[in-house]
Amino acid sequence: MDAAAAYKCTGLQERFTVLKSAVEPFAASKEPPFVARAISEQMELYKLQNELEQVSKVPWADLSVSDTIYKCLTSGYPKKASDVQSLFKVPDRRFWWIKIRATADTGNWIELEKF
Amino acid sequence: MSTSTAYLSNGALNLNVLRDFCRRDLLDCIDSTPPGKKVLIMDEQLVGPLGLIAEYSLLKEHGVEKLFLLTSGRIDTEISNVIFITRPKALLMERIASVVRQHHNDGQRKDYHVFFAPRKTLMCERILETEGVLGDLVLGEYQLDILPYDSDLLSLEMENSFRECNLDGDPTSLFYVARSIMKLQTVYGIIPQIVGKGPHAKHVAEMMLRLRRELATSASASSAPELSVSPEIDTILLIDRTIDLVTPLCTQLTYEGLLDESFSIEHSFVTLNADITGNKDGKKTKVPLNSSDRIFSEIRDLNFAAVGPLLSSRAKSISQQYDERHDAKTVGQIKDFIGKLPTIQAEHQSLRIHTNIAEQIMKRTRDAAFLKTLETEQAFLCSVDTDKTSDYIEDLIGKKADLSLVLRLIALQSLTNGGFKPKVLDYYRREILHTYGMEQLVTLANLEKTGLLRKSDGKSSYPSLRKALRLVVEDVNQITPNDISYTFSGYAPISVRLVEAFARSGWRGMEEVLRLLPGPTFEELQMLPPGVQPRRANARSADGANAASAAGGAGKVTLVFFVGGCSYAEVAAIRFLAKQQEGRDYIIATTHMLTGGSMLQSVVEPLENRLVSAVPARQ
Repeated sequence: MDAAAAYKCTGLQERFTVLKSAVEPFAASKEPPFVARAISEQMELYKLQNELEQVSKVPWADLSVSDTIYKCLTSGYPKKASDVQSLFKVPDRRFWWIKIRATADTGNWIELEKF
Repeated sequence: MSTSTAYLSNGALNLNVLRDFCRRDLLDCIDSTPPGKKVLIMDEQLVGPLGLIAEYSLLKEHGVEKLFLLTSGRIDTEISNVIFITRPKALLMERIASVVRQHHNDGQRKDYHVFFAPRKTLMCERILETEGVLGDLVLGEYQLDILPYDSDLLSLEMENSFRECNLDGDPTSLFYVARSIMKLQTVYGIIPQIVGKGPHAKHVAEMMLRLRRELATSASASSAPELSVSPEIDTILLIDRTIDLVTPLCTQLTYEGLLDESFSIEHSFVTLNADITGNKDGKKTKVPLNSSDRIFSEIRDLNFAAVGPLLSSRAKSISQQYDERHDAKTVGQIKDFIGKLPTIQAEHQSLRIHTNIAEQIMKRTRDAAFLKTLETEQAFLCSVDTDKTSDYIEDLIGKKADLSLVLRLIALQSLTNGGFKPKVLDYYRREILHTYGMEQLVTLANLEKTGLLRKSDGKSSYPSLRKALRLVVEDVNQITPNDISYTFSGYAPISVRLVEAFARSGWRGMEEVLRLLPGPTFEELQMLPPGVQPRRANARSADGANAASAAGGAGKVTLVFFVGGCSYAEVAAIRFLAKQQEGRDYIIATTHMLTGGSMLQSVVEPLENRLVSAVPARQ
């Protein structure tokens, strides 16, 4: 499977290329679009994480969508967290769980009280 | 032989005979090397299985001076006779080669024997050849396959069998199953009736019939030892794990089942911390779990709810036994008491350990998350709300709970619902990828390939199966059970329901149920060799090993063989059947013991993710 091959690449650029080639046959085939969509989403996510790295100067690459939201919330980018939510259509239920975890982990008890 | 394995002869078959057979094979391998001092270098994974067969003192008697593990380091020894026992794995071949080269570089010349357990493969020979050491080695095989765990339980110890058969398309383990049945037939006689259900089970049956035909046509047929043994096993029932994926996904609720899920049992041993064993030096201890421990054999198969009361009543009786010393007045009475003391002390120690284990398990089972998980499982088993996404599973994902727990519940839901509608399937898949990372895409594909997760084709066989086999039992009695469903507090394993039904009337009348399960149903008869009589009830009563079954009359023995693994709760359920069914005993064999967790772990794809970030991590 090409997705597995992609993870063997250690460089982001390299990995991008493999993923791109992985998504093409899926897009062309009549197979359900799930895998193709997942891979495209992942490329979106890499782009977004790249931007966050420029701004924050710390590594973000390869966090999952949920972990990216969590990190946004715990390292002071709450606005970005909402962006990620809407970009990846994260259901509210999951988003709130992440928010609860983030709030609890940063010891923001006053905020937690409001839930 | 030491008395430590006496318990193996207490079952319907004397499994010590099989153990002796495996020992003899091992010693033959060692004795086939030049006489004198030897070193034995063992594949780490084989230490547990070999420990069940031969103790160190025995190896010593056969010249083994030192044992090493086949790890990646140096192995320094004066002794020139080196024996390797190893599984046929590429990595291990490289290690063997590096040991040989190391000795060579040190200017030492040694004799090397490599015994492959259970079988030499072409690939291994090639690797040894390319490594340039093949010429220095004498290659052989050690047929290490089926091992006695207990008086009624055998295992092949092939943890990867489920994955290999259902995901990698590698049926090698099925060949070992067939060969191990041949070995059992050599020791216990031809098994007249071969029945089973499922694709891999059928494959095994075909292979063993073929092996038997080959044996019969070969020149040595007349001297084959099985021909003179009168059959001790009447029927072998081959159960393919793929016909019942539901059962392993449910939380086992017997003591041994929960013990395995919480502490993980390896080769019938459990490794415990000092706080549980009361070990004074603070080290971890390996505790054997078998029927030679009276306390453990009393509680292992009980529903966990019944364990506490039993332990406390045993505690009382042990303390009474200690108190008997006050009544001992005469020298004779005191002597009597001293004589009983070792037994009382051993039971006391076992009671302490199992009380501590039970306490740990109790903590877990009282946890809200455990109860909620159980409740969700039971709802799925009753076909409640299986067709939509479960709030509880969503919450688990939101909390980023252990992935194998999440997958276990989703797989159970998928199986009880006959697959998911595309919308539900995609929702779960997306939630998992978003939370646990895109790399889980491969794991999801593996789940689909093994049938643990799938798209619905509109119909589900589970509800009919549930009714026909009475899988869900409402009025279950956990303390004094009257049905196998006590093992899961109200759910009866599909696998063991089949065993139960087969014992009642064979496959006849079950056609409809069997059609609901995947793969072929089969039934074959093996002709007994001329002159061999079917086993009589009194055939073994002479050794007194199983007076009960001899007295019971027929004393029929069924071997239930799980192809692809089985759980301790299923073993408990079969033992329960054995107690209920007059005149029938069961021996259970399996490719390996499993839990839902270990089954899922085996299909999770281990991906090495080594992305180097553009921004270095700040320390």
